[in-house]
Amino acid sequence: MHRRSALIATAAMLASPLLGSRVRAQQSPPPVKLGVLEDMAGPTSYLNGQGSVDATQLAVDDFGGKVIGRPIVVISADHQQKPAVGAAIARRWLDQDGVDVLLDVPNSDIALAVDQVIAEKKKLAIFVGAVTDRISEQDCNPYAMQWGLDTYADAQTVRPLIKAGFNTFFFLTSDYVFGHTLETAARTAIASAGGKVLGSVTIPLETTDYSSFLVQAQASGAKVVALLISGGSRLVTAFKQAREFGLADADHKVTSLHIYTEDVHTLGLQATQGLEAVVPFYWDRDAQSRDFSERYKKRFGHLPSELHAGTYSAALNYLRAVQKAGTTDADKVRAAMAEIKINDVYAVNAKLLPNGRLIHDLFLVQVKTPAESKYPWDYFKILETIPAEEAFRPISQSVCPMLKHT
Amino acid sequence: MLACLIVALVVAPFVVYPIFLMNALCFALFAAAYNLMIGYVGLMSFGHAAFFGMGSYVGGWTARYWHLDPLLAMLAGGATGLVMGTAFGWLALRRQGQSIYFATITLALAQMVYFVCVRATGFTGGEDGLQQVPRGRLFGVLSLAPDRTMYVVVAIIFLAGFLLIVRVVHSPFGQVLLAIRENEPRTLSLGYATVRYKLIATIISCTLSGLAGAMQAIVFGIASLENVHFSMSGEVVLMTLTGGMGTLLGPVIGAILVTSMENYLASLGDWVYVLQGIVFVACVLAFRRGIVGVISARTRLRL
Repeated sequence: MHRRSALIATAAMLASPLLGSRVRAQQSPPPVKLGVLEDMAGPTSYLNGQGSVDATQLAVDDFGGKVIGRPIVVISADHQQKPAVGAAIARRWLDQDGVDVLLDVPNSDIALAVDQVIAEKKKLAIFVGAVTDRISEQDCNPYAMQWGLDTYADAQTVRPLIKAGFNTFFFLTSDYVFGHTLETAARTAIASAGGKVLGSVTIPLETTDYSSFLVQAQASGAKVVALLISGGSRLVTAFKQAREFGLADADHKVTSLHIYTEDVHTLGLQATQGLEAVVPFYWDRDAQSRDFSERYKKRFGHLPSELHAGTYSAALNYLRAVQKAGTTDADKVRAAMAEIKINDVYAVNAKLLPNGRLIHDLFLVQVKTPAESKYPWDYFKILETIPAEEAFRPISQSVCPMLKHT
Repeated sequence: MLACLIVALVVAPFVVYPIFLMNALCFALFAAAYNLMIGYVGLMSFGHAAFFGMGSYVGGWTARYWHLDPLLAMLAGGATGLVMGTAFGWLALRRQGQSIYFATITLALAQMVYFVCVRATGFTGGEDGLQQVPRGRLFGVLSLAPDRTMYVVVAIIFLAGFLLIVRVVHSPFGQVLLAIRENEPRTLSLGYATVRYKLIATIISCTLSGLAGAMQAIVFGIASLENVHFSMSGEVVLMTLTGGMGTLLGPVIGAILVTSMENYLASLGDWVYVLQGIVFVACVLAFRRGIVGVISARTRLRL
């Protein structure tokens, strides 16, 4: 009898921590989980990668670390630029790990794969680093949102040029998907803005000598030579040679439709001065962006790239929408995202369209000359602000099939 | 050995996340097919991604646009591997002698395939990849959308492919392949048309690689440039070598090891590659015959 009760007591004692932990688990609400899926070591990892995970954490801390009484947790993974790995991680996060929203997801192929997964699982994703417009066009769904630029927006670089009288164009296009997509987008933008394309030449990807192409461009008499060449060092080689050929003077411009501050930093102002492009974010644009960038730099040791700022904005606005909706239910949060006023350091005068595309002001910048640059990372002159409605594809032109039903 | 494998296949989905398992099995079949060439004939192909990748494109394309039955779509992927394998093998095997020629020719052909895929955006979707491949309904009835159902199909196809390889290796034909690996001139002098044997082994290997690729496209609903890129050819070499080439189970274990590292260590970021490198170096230094090769030698079991 005595022994038996001792046994029971021991058993109870052994079991008590289990019971206790269970009770505790019930008391503390499950965290709201943000999953940042990144390319951590690939060719674009210096633009997103760990920096985007840090930016998400910064957004969480700025928000106060808690939303609707639940703690916020940031988890991250490397998709290693493999769509199958990316899709598998996304599925595991949504199926098993209770992730509420996926953020950033660079590389178009992986973003599209993940887009399919979230549509199936009915969970939200905010894409920042993927340039494909299919996410908010052909393949649109109620759960995907697109925060970053696409090729349509990049192509809007031509509008202010045409307005300023630089209305004839010649393309040097890299012979791969990105180059061709950009050329198509640019041609459409030029036609609609009243400009004219005088010709184009396709360049093999590995070329280092652009002279024959540049001579063709010069012979065409175009006022603007557009280098549709991705990849920092290649672009700069082409740009340097274009300058040597005298293609950039008072009456002629050389442009690339997109350039990252980080590339300018790597390549130097001597090589890149005078280049014009459209950017969504520049750290030194105004007091707000400077304040954000200094805070980011203080904590993580480097200035944020436009994609880091974009991911910060995506995370922050997601949390604000959760706050407003009072739940993490995907449909309700998506509805709340359309209602909240989005205007922050990245998304200036922004609006979320029904197809998931976030439109916001973009900035036409010109790379400064070495003499104009006064302090470290002082690289861009902002020439013009392109209002959100002009910068992005208007909803009336959207081919998103979802819009026809509503 | 087979009994163990079947038990493992049955138990696994209750323990491990099925999506991950299906990914591992696709690669296991791919690696096992590759091993048939490198491990049993001694033919070093550096272009196997071409068969895997094109298999996944054709499988994905036929399932999406022709609405083929998923099984038929996978077989279409296999057929792609067969046709390409015949062409590649015929070309690459014309060069007698050192395997370096075979390796370079296969690599060159595979690179051609890669660049065609980059440009043929109508077919491959270019950098966006071929998306929205439906899993469909098996025989028009059984929906493969639930992960467990899909897993059963994947497991059966993997097992069938694996058994085919086992059968080939243990057949008189397989013995000739081994003889070619050990001493080709001697096999030739014994009266075997070695080139024909090598070609047939290549075709079998490529067919199964195409099948594995198509299976992956159906499981994940995507076929991307990643699958035809030469790094994929390198990865299958890595799987086969760490697992143990020339053993039947080796590539399977190697594939599971490599895919687990990719999947479960993804949160470590770029350290995945460092770890993969360390594992590879450790395998080459410590057990040159691969994990299964060493176990097989220690226990004197044929695995």
